[in-house]
Amino acid sequence: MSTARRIPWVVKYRPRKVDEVADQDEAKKLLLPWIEQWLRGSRPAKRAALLYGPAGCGKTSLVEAIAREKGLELVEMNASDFRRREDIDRVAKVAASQTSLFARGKIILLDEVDGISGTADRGALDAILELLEATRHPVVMTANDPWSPQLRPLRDASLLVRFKRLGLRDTVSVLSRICKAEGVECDPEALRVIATRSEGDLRSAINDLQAIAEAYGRVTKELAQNLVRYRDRQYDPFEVLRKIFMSKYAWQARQAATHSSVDHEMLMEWLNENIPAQLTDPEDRWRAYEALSRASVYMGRIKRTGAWDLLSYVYDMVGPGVAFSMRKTRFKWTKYSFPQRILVMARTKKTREVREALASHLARRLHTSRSTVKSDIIPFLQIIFRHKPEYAARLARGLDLTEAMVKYLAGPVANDVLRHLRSRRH
Amino acid sequence: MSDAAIARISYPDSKAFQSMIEALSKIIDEVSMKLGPEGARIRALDPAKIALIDIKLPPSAFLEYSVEEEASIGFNVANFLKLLKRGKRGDRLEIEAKGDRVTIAIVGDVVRRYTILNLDVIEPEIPEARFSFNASATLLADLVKNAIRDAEAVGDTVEFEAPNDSEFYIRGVGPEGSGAETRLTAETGQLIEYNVSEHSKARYSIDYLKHVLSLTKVADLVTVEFSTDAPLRLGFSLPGEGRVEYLLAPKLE
Repeated sequence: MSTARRIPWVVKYRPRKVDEVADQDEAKKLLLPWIEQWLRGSRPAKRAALLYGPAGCGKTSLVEAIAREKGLELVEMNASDFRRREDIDRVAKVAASQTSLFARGKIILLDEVDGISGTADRGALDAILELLEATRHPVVMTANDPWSPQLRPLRDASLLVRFKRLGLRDTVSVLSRICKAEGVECDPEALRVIATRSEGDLRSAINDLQAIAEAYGRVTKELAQNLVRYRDRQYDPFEVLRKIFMSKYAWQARQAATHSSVDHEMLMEWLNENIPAQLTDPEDRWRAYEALSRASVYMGRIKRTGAWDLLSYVYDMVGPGVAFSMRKTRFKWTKYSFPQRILVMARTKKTREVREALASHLARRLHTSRSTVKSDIIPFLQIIFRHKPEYAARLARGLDLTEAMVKYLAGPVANDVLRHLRSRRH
Repeated sequence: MSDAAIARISYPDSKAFQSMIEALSKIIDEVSMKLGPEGARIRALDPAKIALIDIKLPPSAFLEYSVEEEASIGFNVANFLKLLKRGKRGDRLEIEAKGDRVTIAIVGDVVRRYTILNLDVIEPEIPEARFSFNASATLLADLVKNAIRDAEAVGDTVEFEAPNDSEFYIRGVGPEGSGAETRLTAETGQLIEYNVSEHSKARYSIDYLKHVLSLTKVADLVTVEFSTDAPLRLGFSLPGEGRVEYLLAPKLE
């Protein structure tokens, strides 16, 4: 064996030019003009770019290749380096407000931002947002799953760039290039096996290739089949849904459900949103929603009693349960969408808070329950407030309502009511 | 491996060494000192890559300098600083690398000997920087130190301006136009050497300038070099021989 220092091939064959990054043409088309706009000296409206996609598909590599090709300095931070506000302020924020010592510009790379948690690392998130406000250099972030709720503020502030899982052909072509460069005898069939089992994760494919090549000196189909395993991967919700609906066997559907990057409750939201899109036959839909509601019943019991052993049945319902509702509909490619319920809930969060506050305020004064207030009283108040501003102002005073509550009840005529309210005070 | 020392050096003033390590400790956690025929060299780039400390000590700066072949001593800066703080003015510093251990001795009235692990510090890729500066001033280190302390009182940014070759301004820039100004002129002898080839003005972070103020304790003179909106270089000449250079990227407005 050679004594030369062993360099992992994933490092040795890192792309040096943008063209060497396998595929991801759409991502390049989005990201490159954005970086070039920075280099021309004008700050784009979106100060940051959020690159997202499965592991090993070239997010970090593309950023590194761009930096190298354009002669930019790369100031890189990993999730473990930016758990605390001080860390971000000390490195990224400082880098963001000064020029580079050696290069004509720089890119600030925050790798794996989905590694920070929304609650424990609250300070870190705020610090990143401040960084985006202040930065004079492009900030690029990467994430496997950009849809988690805590990343929402970052999502809103960023140019979203999606990376796809690499196709079989792209993976095989990179692998055979490496084989040639290393002078290792590789069977093309073996590379296909490795590529298939890597499921579009080029990094793991290269690692598998190196492991076989270094141990056996050659790569044959038989070795690849015996040695390369599918990895336990996480799939984004789009992929999970597709896998569930395409399953031929119960275990496939169940595996798809348990390997989701979003948790079970979020997955149920996704199914809830997309079942009618995928299943066109009414009876199929009925069966799918039956399964989903059964899952929801289990979830309710888990929450009430803490009996987490029931979670297994939740997965049985959302995976195979939904998958095998599909009896008449034939699978066809469908564009899935983000659960609207969550978007609406997020958008109406403020309003709902006011409504809750109003309900408990009135419940106390009227000696009734909050749900009665919401169902029997608020609707009438809304009608009164919208039609009789002056009377509404008297009510508001009598019931001691805050300005936010008046605005909620009066909607478009809130200003009229408030004017009456103020004139009566004096 | 034999037990023979791969390097043994002895520096006359442990306190001067401490000042250098103190400056390093502000920007980096671990660092490696390279020992070669040309002397000792430490280069450290801060994690944000905006400041670079470059320490060069030729063999003649040492009382003893026996280095067989290229050697590298890696250490945790904060820990090393803790050891050095135990020394007194006038103490001598001896460093001996043997196998994977480094022995540090502070020799004064008593000899304090510490053994630490020689860390395998991954060296950052630092390009050899080549810069040209349009303004260059050599002045007393204390003047610079005080001017920076004054500037600190009003804000977090300091502005260097060289309008012509007789005046030099160091200003503190605070919020809403508040400021502090130190004016240095050639006539009063404050500017020992002063060359300006072009009107230059640039702003730098005070926090980062403060990192190297510890060096004003050991260097009498400091060279300030900069150009408009370009990096700043502070050069400190150490007593005996040796030089510390500090490069700092400018702030963007």
